[in-house]
Amino acid sequence: MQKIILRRLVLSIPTLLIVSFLIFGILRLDPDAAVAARLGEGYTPEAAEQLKEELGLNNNIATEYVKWLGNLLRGDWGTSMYSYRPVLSEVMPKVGVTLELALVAVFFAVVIGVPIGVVSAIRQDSWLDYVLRGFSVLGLSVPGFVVATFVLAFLAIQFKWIPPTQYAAPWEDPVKNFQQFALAGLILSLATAASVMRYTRTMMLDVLRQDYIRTAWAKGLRERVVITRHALKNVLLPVITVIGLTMATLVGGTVIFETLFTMNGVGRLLIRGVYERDYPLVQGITLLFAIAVVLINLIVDISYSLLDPRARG
Amino acid sequence: MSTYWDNYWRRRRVSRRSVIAGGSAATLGLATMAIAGCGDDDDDDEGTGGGGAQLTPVAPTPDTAEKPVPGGTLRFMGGPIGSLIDIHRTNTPWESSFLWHWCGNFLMRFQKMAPYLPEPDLAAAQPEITDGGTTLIFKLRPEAKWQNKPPVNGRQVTAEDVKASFERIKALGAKSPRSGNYAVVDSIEAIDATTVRFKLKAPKADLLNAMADQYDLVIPKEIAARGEDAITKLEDVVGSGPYEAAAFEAGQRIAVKKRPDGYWKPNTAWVDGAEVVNQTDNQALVNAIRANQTDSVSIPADLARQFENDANFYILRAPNPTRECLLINHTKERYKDLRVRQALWRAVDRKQVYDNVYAGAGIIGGAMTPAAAGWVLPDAELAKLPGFGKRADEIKEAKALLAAAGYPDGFEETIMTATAFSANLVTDVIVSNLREVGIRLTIDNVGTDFATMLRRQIAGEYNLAGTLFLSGPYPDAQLLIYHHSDPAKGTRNYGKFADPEIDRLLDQQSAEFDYEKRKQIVFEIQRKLATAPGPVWIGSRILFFVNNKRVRNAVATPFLAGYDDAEDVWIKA
Repeated sequence: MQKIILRRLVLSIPTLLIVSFLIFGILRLDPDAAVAARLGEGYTPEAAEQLKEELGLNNNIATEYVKWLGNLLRGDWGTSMYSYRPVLSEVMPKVGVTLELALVAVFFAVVIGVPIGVVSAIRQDSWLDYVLRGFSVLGLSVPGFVVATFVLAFLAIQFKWIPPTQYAAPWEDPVKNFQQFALAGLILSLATAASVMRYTRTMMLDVLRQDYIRTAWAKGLRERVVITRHALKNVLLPVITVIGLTMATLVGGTVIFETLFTMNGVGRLLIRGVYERDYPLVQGITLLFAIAVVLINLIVDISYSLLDPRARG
Repeated sequence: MSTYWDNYWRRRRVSRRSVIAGGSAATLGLATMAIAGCGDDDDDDEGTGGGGAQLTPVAPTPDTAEKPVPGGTLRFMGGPIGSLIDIHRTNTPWESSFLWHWCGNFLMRFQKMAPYLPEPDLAAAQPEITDGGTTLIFKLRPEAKWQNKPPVNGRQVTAEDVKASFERIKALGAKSPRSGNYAVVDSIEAIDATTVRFKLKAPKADLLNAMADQYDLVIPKEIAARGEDAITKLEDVVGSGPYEAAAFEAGQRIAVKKRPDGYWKPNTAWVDGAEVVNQTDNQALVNAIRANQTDSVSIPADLARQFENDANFYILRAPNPTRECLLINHTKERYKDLRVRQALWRAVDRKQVYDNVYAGAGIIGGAMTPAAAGWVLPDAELAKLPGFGKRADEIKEAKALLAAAGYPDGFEETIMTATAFSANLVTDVIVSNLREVGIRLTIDNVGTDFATMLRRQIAGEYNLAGTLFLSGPYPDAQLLIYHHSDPAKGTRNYGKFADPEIDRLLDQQSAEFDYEKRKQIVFEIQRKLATAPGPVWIGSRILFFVNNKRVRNAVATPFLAGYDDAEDVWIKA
């Protein structure tokens, strides 16, 4: 197992290097625009040149990248160009909010997607199956932010209530924390839940046609035992992969959801960074997202190896 | 009691018919909510039809009937909240209009009910102006005290603080967007503890306006002495205002609390504290005020309208000084011909711009933003100027001008714009308008980055541009910087417009300290610019503020005004 983890970690290094170079390069594609944004109406060619010099935008991109990477490895993620605070000090206090939102969404995706997928499979082609599949298509086709917009407007108009906007940590005020994250997490999870449901259904149908399941039925086992003890275990393996893959989408989705639900997470910080052309901040956050996605994939790989001995080979 | 804006709209009865409710308030993120004495539920809705009645500020109760009650926390939601906490350097409004206006004071500030004229704030009176307008002597209020925090610990605000503050702004150079306003200042001298003298290189009437314009607050000399990075954290926010900074989370939240040592202006500053939560999504703002998570939001008119008949809220409206504009590059041969420029001026249907783009929420105007009420030509006169007549007549005149200029069939041209702040939508209307006179425009959209368009404007890399500008409510900021041919004065004359007569008048008004005399010159400039145009000015949109009914003494200001929002607002339990 250690070998597998090590191998995966080593393989993730080139991925992160490529991602980091892309982030670094893309932000510097149009230095003039960035300088113009910083100078605003004070823009003059002279001031622009001076600022480009200050920001290192005139230097060779490769040299600057190596410098940035060197600092990164020493734990220096740079300093925000506007708040003058270290990027990590800006980002880390907000990681908890984003992480909690993503985890709540994953929780809902599994809790909703897996049972519905199972029910849909074992009641294949029944009215219940059609209804549940209809919902899953709806979940996949309607963007989460649209659902969130409608739900929030409905709550505000009908009940004069929306989730609280000021963050409360779960250990400080669990009720407020639940109010903040439950609805946002639930809506954010819908598309993922729909995917999970469909994969679960497909896999379950496949597994239910296997010989060992037929044997289980032949032994006279009850449906609950056949499904939960014999079928579900094998169904979950590919579902875990799906969950891992959709985590990246969830992390991206938090950017929009944090705005809609007025949450002080990394996503909103990223928007602020983009708005202000705060290169170090945007680079730091995007890299953090990239690391998160790589780590999630690593965890998926490890889980897969743990659940399926054949994958360890 | 009649409010300033009641009277303003009464005076502008003609244009009220051309002003229609609706539109986007999210302009450049530069809206500000000012709180001031306001109180009249007089709707003044006679014969407006087009929605002009909705422009009268409506207070929940006449302010004479209620006495302010201390207590409560006022909750705003809006944004964006930037990260630059330094008031002399920042260019985003919440750090200034909320944090610093609540925590600090100006030397001069704009009057609440005439927000185009400066009044004393830390100054005890209007300055003594001598030496032909080149010396301004300010006496300070001796009772003004800094907050009881290091490094000032509640000491008196002195002339040295004023000197240090304005010298810092000037020294910041390109790092302060307002530094250029003080280029005319030769020296600042603290004569004694409460007297400060500004020596100018030349008379400049708008110096007082510049001092009052949103960002140029007075800070302690000890902090100013730290240089360009003097204000980087919450502890550096030390002011003489009624509130203290309690929290600043860049991009997230700002909070202030009442200063414990008491404000030096008695019977003001009623609420215990206030906060603003960053939220720029308009629907989220609507939800938040409905759900009682905020007391005040600025939202587009079409969203604000749903609150019109809701007894739990009231709506305040104010024109936004942002000006929509068709920018002309005068260095291009075609636009050196006055007749072509006159044709463009006439061909743009100003009313249609606001009807189509802002659901009618706008006020058409000429070279001064309609938001600068005290300096704008009266409606009756404006209506007689080119560009403001009947549409059919304007098109006919425009075609005749083009034909006389050698373009009987019009011409083909490119127009630059950006998909930002609705500039592209305004441009769509302009394209349609100009097609009516034969000018066939191809849109050159630079994308969503407004800064790219700005850079190209400054570099002269365009022929026409559908754009917008924001500047202060006073003549130099509205006229001089956009029309003067001297680059040192016409800092935003991106089209390189040049007219010696306009230059002369601009210089003349700039040195005139007498309001009435200056106003007449400003009027004359507006008349001339309607017949010999530089940029084609279109007008200004309208901001809508929805307030919870518990918020009292609130009025929307049309400007990024520099008076203390904090002093008058109170909350009814």
